[in-house]
Amino acid sequence: MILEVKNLSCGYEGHKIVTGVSFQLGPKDIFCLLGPNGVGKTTLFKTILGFIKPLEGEMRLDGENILDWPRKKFARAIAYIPQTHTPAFPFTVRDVVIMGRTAQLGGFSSPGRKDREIADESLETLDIYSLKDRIYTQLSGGERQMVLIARSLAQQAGILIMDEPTANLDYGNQMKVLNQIRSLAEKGLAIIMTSHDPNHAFLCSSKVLLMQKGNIIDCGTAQDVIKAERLRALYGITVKIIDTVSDENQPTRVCVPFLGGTAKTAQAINQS
Amino acid sequence: MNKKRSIITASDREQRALSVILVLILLLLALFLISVAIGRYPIPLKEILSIFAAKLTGAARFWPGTTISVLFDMRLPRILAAIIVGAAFAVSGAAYQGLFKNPMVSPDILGASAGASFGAALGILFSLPGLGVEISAFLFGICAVAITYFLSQAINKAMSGILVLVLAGMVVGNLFSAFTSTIKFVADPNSKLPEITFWLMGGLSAVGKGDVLLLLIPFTLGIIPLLFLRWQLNIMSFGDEEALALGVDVKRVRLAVILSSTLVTSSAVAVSGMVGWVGLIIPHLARLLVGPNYKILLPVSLIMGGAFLLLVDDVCRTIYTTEIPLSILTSVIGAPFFIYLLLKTKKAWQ
Repeated sequence: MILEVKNLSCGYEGHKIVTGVSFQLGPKDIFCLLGPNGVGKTTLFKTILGFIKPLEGEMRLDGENILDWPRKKFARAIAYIPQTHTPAFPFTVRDVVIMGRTAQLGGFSSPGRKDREIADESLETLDIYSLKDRIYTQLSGGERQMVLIARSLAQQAGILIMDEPTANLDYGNQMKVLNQIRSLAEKGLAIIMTSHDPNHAFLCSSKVLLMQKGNIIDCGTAQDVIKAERLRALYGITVKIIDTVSDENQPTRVCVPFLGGTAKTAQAINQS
Repeated sequence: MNKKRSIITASDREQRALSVILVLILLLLALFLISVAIGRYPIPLKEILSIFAAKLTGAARFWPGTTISVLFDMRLPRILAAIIVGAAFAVSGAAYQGLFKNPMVSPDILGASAGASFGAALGILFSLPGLGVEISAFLFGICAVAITYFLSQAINKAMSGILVLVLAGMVVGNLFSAFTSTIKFVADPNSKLPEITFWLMGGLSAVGKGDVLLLLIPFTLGIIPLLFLRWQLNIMSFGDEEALALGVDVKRVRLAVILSSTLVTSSAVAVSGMVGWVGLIIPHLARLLVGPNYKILLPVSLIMGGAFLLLVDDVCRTIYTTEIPLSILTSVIGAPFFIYLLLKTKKAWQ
């Protein structure tokens, strides 16, 4: 399943927020959308998900124009994982995950035994089967994020779109979620996510779409796109990018920010 | 191993829900028989059962004309009306709570009750016959919600659909309440005004066979789509964007739920007058009993709503020498009960 976005412009009725976005996403790809607050990441997301109509451009899935697909067909191809939230009613975890099956059901029917089994499998895939009878609203943020991911797996779509999957999670849970994202991509899913931490892109060895004021300014592997000068220009901060190895001799790259540093001191650090 | 166990618990839960529904149906049945027996003209239960048996088998036996007339012309229509009205408020309340993602929503949020009250007041002002008043109430209830809906469609371009809908509902509801007050103001204080006031207080004392028919048609037309859409209601309670992403045609489902609930609520208000609280507390109670999943919640709300209003109406007509208006009792029972529920579920709110 290949999602092709061509020259997409989005915004609200004549007020263009994002212009000329093009990229191509296939199985096993992770795209990390990076950029400061207010550059139009959310608007772009909502457009890709079909919540708002694009002003220009096209979106094709395996060559087919998906802009006027009915919601059900759309949901079978693209799943959305929102930021963790608290719904109004205390559904059980299992009920929440089974809701992912909605797009696969006939018009008025309710989920049956097969849907329950698929939901259980999704929970097992993410190692959270033990949560199944808990009340969703009473879970911790990390657990809730995992349940929402399980729901998207039950949806059996080829493409997952995640809105800041690590927002409001503690350090350990952030890594847990990123780990799952990476292994889902390895299983053949295509993933687009937003993040505020360049390290997340390094960790998932993802491709990066770098956004600035309504434009994608660069697109490529995290290694190629995330550069110290770039981040300085984009966020107005000083950072240093360091190559290191894990205990298992695995090379990784990290991005370290500095507080209160001017460009000069950053240069000094880079030179030393 | 794990999987096997999970299937058992799933069917366990369904079993539990089914047994809750069964118990509630039995309770409603018992309440029904008691309701037929009690009243100003008590009929022994034994006699009632043999009359029903004779009617069913076609056996020719004779009972006093008063008994037959009380039973079939007054008591049965009234009991059926109470059950239908209670079920109508409870189901549309439950449906709206899912649609508006808020357990504090009641069926009159889009102005159905306010519109129906105005329609009834107008009908009384123009001295329409009883059935005419009810039809006028029914039509104006639908009319008010239609105005709310189209108003929200006209405003809603960038704003969240639900917020605009609730605001439009408030405006339209207030407007129709003002119209009702205007009618009260100009109505003859010796005849029309008390009639309007009493009508608005709600009651089922005047219900006859015709009213039950008037209730039953819109009730059936509204309840069936709601029952079909109960899985979609689960999804709708997660908000528009998530529902869209999960594959629900949000606009169409919302319109269908509003249309069905309005049919059901308007016809209920047209027959019973303004009866508050049922649409708010019954879904709460049902949720405590069987959880929030609409697959089970909606049928349970339906039966509980019917049983509750039947019970309240029984109290209305038997506790005192003159009848107590229905809305007074539902409030007197409903408000403290709701506080009790809030206190009991306090933990969940924190």
